[in-house]
Amino acid sequence: MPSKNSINRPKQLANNAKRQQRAHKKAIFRKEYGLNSLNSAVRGARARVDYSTQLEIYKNEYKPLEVHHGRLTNLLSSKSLSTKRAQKIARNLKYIEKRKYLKEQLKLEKNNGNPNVNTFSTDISVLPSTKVKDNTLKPVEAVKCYINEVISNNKQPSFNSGFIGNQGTLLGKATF
Amino acid sequence: MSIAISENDTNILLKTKNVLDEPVLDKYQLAGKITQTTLQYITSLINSCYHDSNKDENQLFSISQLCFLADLFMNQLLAKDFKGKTLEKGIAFPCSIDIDEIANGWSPELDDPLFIKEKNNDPDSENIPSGARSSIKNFLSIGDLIKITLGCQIDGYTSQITHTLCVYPTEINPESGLSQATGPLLGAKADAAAVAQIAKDVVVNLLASAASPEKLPENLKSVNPNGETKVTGHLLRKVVDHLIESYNCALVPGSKIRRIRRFLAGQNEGIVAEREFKGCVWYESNQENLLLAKSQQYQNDLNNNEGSNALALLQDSENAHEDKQKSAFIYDSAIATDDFVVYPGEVYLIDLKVVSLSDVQELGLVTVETLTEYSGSTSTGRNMTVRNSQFIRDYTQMKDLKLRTSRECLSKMDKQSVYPVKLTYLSDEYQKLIQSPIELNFQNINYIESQNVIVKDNLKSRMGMNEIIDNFLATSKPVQIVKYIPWDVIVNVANPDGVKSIDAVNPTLPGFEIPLPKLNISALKLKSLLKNSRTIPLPVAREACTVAITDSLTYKLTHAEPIYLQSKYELNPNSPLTQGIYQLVELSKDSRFGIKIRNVKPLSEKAVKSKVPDLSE
Repeated sequence: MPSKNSINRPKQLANNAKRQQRAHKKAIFRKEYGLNSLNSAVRGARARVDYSTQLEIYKNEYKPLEVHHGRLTNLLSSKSLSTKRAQKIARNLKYIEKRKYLKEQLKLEKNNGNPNVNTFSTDISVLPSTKVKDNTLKPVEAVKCYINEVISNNKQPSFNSGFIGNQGTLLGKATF
Repeated sequence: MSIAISENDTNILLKTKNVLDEPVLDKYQLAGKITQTTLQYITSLINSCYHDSNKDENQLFSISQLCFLADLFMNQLLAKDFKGKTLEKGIAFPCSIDIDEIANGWSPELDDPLFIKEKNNDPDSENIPSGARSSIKNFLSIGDLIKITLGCQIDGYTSQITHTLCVYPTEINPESGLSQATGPLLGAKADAAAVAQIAKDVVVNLLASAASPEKLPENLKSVNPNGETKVTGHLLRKVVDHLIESYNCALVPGSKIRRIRRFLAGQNEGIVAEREFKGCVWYESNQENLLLAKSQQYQNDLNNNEGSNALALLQDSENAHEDKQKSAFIYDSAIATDDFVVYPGEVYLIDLKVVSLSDVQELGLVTVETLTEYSGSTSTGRNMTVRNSQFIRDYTQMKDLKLRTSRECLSKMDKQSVYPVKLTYLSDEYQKLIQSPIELNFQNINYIESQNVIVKDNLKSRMGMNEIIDNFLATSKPVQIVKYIPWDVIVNVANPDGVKSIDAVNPTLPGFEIPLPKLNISALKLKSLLKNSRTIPLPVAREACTVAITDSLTYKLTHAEPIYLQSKYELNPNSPLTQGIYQLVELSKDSRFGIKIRNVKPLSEKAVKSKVPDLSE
C-alpha cells in the first residue's frame, strides 16, 4: 500500500471512492428516515424540503426518530440548540413575520387601487412590532415556583409533618 | 432484548405453574419456614456475640462471617428436602447485613474486609458516616441499625425477609440473670424502624382482606377511585403514605409492594423487564408529587377552571412523559401503575425502606446513591469504596470466554439459578460443607480451614468473574446508600440539558428512568448533586415479607417480631384513614368473622437437627 503522500498513490480513485461511500451512507440514512419521498408510508416520515431539526427543537416540537427492531420509535435525543442558533432562528422568524405583514399590506394597497404601490415604504422601522411577548411560564419554571413556595413556607424548624400525641409508640421487649 | 418462547410454554411458565394449589403452597411455606429459621439463627448468632456481656471480645463474629454462616445454614437446611427431585432450589437473596445508611447489597465475601480496609480511608475519621464506619471495620457497634435480608426459593417459589435489628448496650436483668437492653431505641432510627414495622403489618392485613374485600372498613373503601370494594394499588399507596407521614418519615426510592411469581421475585429488577408487572413502587417522582400537592398555588391552579397556562403545559408534558414511557418499551405491561386489584391466588412481596426526617433541617428529597469501586476515592472522602459481591447471570447473553477460569466459573454459575450468586457458592469446598451436619452450638462453629480454602477459591473465581462481567454475561447487584438532598439545591441547579440524558447503569424499573420528570431532572443530574456538601446520608430501616393469599386463608410466609424501641410519634386517631386502619387491625384479630391470616412458623430445633423435612403446621 503506498503511503498517503507517495507520488504514485491513485489519488483520484481513492477520493472518488470515498465520495461515493459518503453519498451512499447519506442515501441510506435518508431512506431510513423516510426523507426521500413526500408521501412515504412510513409513520412520522417528513419531507426534506421544509424540514429543519434546529427549528423543531426551537419550537419544542422535535421528535427524534429511531429505527428500533424494524419499528420507528420515539426515543430521547442528545440533540441540543446553541444559544447563538436560537437567537438566529428567533431573528429569522421575526423577519418572516414582517415579510408576511408587508405582503399583506402590499396586496391591500393594490386592491384599493393605490397608484403608488411600487413606492410603498418598505422601511422595517416604521412597521408595527410583530414580536409576541411570551408572558407565560414554562412548565419547569412553574414547578420551580410551586416548590419554592413550599420551601419558603416551611423555613421554620417546625415543618415536621408527623403526629405527636400523648403516648407515642412503644414496640418490642428488652430481652433478646 | 427478549428471548422468544412459544406461547404454550409461556402459558405454562407464567400461568399454570403459578396457580396457588396445595403442592405450590407447600413449597412456598417450606421456603418461608427455612427463611425464618435462618433469620432466627443469624439473630441468635448476633445476640450471642454482641448482646452477651460475658462474651470475649476476640470471639466476635465479623459481618462477613455472619453472612457466610447464614448462607451456609440456609443451604444446609435446603439440602434436606426434595432430595431425589430434579427441581431447582437454593438461596434467592444472599444474606446481606446493611448498617445505617446502607440500604441494600452489603454482603461481603470472606476475603472482602481486607480489600475494603485497604482501599478506604481510616474509618474513624470524622467524614465517614456511621454505617460505612462499621462496614469498613467489619464489626457491628452499639447503636447500629442493621437490616438483615435473606431469602430462598424452592422450585422457583421464593420467600424473602428483611428485618431491622439494633445493637443495644446491655445490662444484666437482676431477676432472670440474663442480659437485656438497657433501654429502648430512641430518636430518628426508632421512628423509621417503628413505622416500617407497622406499615408492613398493616399492608399484610390489607392484602389479606383481598380474599374477602366486603369486610374492608368504609373509611378505607372510600379511598379507592370510585369507592370500589376492592384492594387496589391506590388504596395500598394511600395507606402506606399516610402511615409514613404520621411518623415524619419518607420512603426510600425502590420501596415496593409487588406481586411475585415463580422465578420472578424481584431479584432482577432493572435488568430484566417483567411482563405484566403488578404492584406499587415508590420512586423520587412520588416525593415530587407529594411536595407539589403541598403547594397552595398549585392547588389553586388545579381548582381554578381556567387554570394557568403553565399548568396546562405541565399537564401536557406529563402526558408526553407517559407516552414516552410507553413508546420506549414494547411491553407496556412492564411499567408499574397503581391501577391494579389484588386477588386471592396471588403472592405478594412487601419491601419497605423508610428513613426518618426528624434530624434534617430543611425540606429535601430522599434518594439513593450507588457505591462503586471508585466511590471512596473522591476528594470529599465522605463515601466508601465497595466491591460488589452478588452476581446475576444474564441468560440472554452468550459468548465464548478466553480464560479457562472464566469458563469454569461460568459453567458453575449456570448450574446455580436466575438468582444472585456469591463467589463463595461456586467453591467446591463450600459445596462439601453444605453436606456436613448442621452445627447449632455457636461455641463449636469453627470452619477456619474450610474458610481458608474458600478464600483461595474466591481469588480464582474473581478473576473469572471479571471477564464474565466485562462481557455482560452477568451483572452485579449494587450496594446503595440513602442520601438526602435539599430541594433548594435541586431547584437551583443549572440544568440546560433537561431530561435528555439517561443513566444506563441505574437499575430502576422500566418507565422510572427519569427521577424527577416535572422538574426535568435526569438521573445523571441527580447523581452529580449527590456530591453537594449539603447532601447528607440518612439511616434507613427496612422491613420485607412475603404473603401468599388464598381464598380461605392468607399465609404470612415470613414473620419477625419488632425490636425494642420507642418513638415520639403515633397515628392521629382523628383521621378517618387511621380509624379505618384500626378497624382493619381489629378485623385481623377476630379469628371467627375477621380476616384470616396464618403466620408460617420457623422450623423447630428438632426438625433442624433431624434429617427429614418438617411440614407439620
